Amino acid sequence: MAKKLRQMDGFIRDLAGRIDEKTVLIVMGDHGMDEKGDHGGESDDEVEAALWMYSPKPVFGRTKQEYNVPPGTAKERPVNQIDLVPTLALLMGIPIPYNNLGRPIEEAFAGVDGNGWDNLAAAEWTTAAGIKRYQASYLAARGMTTASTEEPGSPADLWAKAEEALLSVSQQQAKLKPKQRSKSDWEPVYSAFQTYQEETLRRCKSLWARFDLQSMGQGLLIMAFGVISLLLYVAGGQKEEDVIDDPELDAAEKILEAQGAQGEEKPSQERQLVRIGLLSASIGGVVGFLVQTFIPPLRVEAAWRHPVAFAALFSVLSVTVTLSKNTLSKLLPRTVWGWLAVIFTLSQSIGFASNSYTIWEDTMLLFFQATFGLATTLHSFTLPSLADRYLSIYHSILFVLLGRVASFSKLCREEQMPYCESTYYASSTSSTSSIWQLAIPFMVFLALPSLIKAYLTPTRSYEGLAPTWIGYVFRTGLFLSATYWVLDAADNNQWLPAELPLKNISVYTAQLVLGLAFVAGTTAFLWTPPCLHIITQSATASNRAAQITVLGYGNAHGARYLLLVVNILGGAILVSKPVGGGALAVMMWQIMSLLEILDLNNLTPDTTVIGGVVLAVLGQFYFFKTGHQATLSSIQWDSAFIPLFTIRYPWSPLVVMLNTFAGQIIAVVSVPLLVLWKSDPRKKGILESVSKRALGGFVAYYATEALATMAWAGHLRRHLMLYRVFGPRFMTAAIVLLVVDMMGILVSLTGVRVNTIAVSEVFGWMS
Amino acid sequence: MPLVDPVTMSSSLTKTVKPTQASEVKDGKDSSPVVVRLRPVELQQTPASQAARRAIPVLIAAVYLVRFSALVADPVAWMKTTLPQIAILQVAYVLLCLPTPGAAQKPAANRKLRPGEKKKPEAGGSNPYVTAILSLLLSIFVTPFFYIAMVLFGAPFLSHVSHTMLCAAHLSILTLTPLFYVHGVDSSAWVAVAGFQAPLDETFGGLVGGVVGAWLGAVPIPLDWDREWQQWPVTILCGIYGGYLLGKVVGGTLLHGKRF
Repeated sequence: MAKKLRQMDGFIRDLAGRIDEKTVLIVMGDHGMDEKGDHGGESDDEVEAALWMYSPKPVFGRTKQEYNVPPGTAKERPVNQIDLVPTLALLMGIPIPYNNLGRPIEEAFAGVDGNGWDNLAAAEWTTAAGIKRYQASYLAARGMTTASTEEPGSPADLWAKAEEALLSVSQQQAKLKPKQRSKSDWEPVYSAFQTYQEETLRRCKSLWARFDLQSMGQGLLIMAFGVISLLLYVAGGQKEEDVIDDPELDAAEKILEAQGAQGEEKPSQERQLVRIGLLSASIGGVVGFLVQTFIPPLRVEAAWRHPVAFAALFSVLSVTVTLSKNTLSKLLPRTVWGWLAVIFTLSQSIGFASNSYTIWEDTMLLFFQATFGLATTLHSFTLPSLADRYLSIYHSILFVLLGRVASFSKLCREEQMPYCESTYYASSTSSTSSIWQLAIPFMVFLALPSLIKAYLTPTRSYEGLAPTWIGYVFRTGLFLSATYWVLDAADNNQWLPAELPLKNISVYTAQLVLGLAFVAGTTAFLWTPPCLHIITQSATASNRAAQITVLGYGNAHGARYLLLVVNILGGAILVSKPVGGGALAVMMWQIMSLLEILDLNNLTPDTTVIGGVVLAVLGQFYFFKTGHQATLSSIQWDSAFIPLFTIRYPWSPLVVMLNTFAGQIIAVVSVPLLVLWKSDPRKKGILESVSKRALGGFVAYYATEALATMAWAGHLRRHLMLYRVFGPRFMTAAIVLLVVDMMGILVSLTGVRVNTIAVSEVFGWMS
Repeated sequence: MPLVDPVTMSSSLTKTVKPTQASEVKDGKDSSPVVVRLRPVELQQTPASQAARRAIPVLIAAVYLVRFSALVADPVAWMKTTLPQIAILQVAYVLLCLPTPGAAQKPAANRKLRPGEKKKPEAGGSNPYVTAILSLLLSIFVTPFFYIAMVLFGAPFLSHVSHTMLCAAHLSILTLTPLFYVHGVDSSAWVAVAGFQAPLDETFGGLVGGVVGAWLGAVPIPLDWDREWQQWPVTILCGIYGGYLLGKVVGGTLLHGKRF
């Protein structure tokens, strides 16, 4: 350390000796350091640093003798960092920036003798006038009225006083002969404008840099109990190991029930919970109203806040208490898989306290995927059937390998430099794809439909609508997507004569793809029968009874539901740009391998939540692999213009959302597959399994991350990186949670319902 | 017209109900058809063995700790120079402490140190020296697989190849040499080890410890502390050594014979 300090000292001496008279040398620390060496917090030791200004030309001076000795600590004669703004502007002779709130540093304008009060007054007046103008337009923009001069100590009052002082001193000066004038006469003017600046700054600080801890606390409590109740709900759905899921037994049970006395029907747990939650919410609302009305210290400006907050809090609390009665013990994981799910979710949540783990989230997610793949590879060795064992090892390795391949798609955030190289666009400064990247969508077009087919054929499920839809319609959509990106590149780079309406053609192509995916796709999904092929053999001489063979029976639910995922995938691939589309294709492949792994190792949602959590990890991973980061600057606004010429509501925001959250959306739409894939078509309570276990576990991951980012952003509210790292990550998590919840309910659960009805219709039973 | 005969349907060309059946078989106590139940490895009881058992972990830790600053300064050079030392220590360990090849499969009462020739003649027969050298070679052969695993976990793909490869070699020689020595190339034993169904002992505990340690070793890498020791793969190596020694000691004493 001493060596380094001496080296810096030598460097600065050397530099100070070389600069010319027109140059100012400013040496300052960007932050201080506390005893432990921390430097990101808000303690004085961390916030305060040294400032040293030097000019070979003698212009700087000190207004008092005792200031001649440099201050021993930052507590003596401190200046604000923002004071550098007017100081530097005035020294360089340029206008002071419009939104300045600082003031000129005294020593820089006091003159060599330290008595240049006229100069100081002029500098302070100029600065204060700028501040006044800024404040006036700020108040006008916010629709606030300027505080009247009557209020003593208000900026307006102080400004009036300063102007008064200015007027009286200048009148007084005009009366005096030049010899009688003294520079120190201007000192009161200087300090009057300084008082105005100080008061304005204080008011702005209290307006802007204030944290409403009460409301933050309320929000955190609601969120925390929300997460806990969700976890309890998911844990409560875990089936005991000895519960037998045998449809025939269930049928027999039903018959017995029907024959027996019609006992009082027990309301379902969900209905009960909703009732309790609503009741408590109304009580909470009343309590909140009473608090707002009768407890003045807790009263807040927004009258609706307490009733709403208390309603939410009471309802989550009551649900939590109801659920915790018999499921609290189930929260603790009992298997390796449960522990893995907890480790993934929890370690990431803890990691959000550190800017490093937040910045490198994508690498951590890859690490979790690899960990899961390793665990399933090892678990495969315990499978009794050799064929299953090899298949499971194959899919586990493939799963990890695909994740690693996708990890090469990177759009680095600033903080990752220099350890990250962006590959998403042609170069790190460009926002268009390079020419070789245009080949990726064509590779997707050639490979992806065949890959999906390969996962359907083992169960003979590539039947019904599947060959037409996946083999032709989806493939056409992918081809059109690829064409779109070529047209887009041709338009951007002017490869073709300008008179060709390339933009028109490309936009209509994009609209066609989205129409195929969402309009035609949804219609097809709603009406198509399951992906089955029923062969009826009439009685022959050798075989007396007529025989019915159903191809695709083993994956009747999963194969049909997959069509819905494929539709949304098609739309997402189009709006995700070439590299992002490639990444999403890999994601689909990874999801299908995941489904095989879970099926082979019997890790269904009914027994463990790991499937949902790994799927959630995948969704979050592909958020990064489709060229996004948890920063506002990484939003791909240009995606709004893929299917449209101008901004049109609500379509443009929806397209940007699909582009931004494609990973999470595909993941949440795939959640039902965790239950449906290769499940017994006669399986009971599919919707409950999907919502309670699969979707519950999936959402629990995102909810926990949202809670963690929320808590950490609140805790680190004074941290240097709040607005760069913690705040944006919390905003991302909050929106992602909303998107996942909405899509989960509107698309996944609705899709399951439609799917189950279609399958049941064919086999003639209702679940 | 809906089909009503479920029996016909379940006879179609699928494997629908297989998972449940599989789990039933697996859950059905310890009669898993393929996986053999391994016995924990009992160490030799000779004074030399007991001494070596205590001395070698200390020596490994010493090799590691004495030149830790050199590791941080130049990981590749450090890993190159210490690799042979660790290999020699591990060979000495297997020869001095571990039962003669094949004995692990035998009942513990059979303390005659008779080699189990019929189990694995290909592992070097009765000669412990040959077996030890072969185990070392086999563990070196496994290095590329550990390398691939590390890359899959996010290790640099095209750069730092020698860093990652040497790190994989350390993991492999440290954890696998003893296992190859006791199990040879007995596939059923290795299936049990891979499926985490082997009992904990010094050899298996070392493997688990080393792998878990390597996993945990990745944790400090992303932190922006700008410390020299955060460079690849110093922390992984720390995790491997710490985890191996801990796993070996705990597996050999506290949790000896326990299963997952």
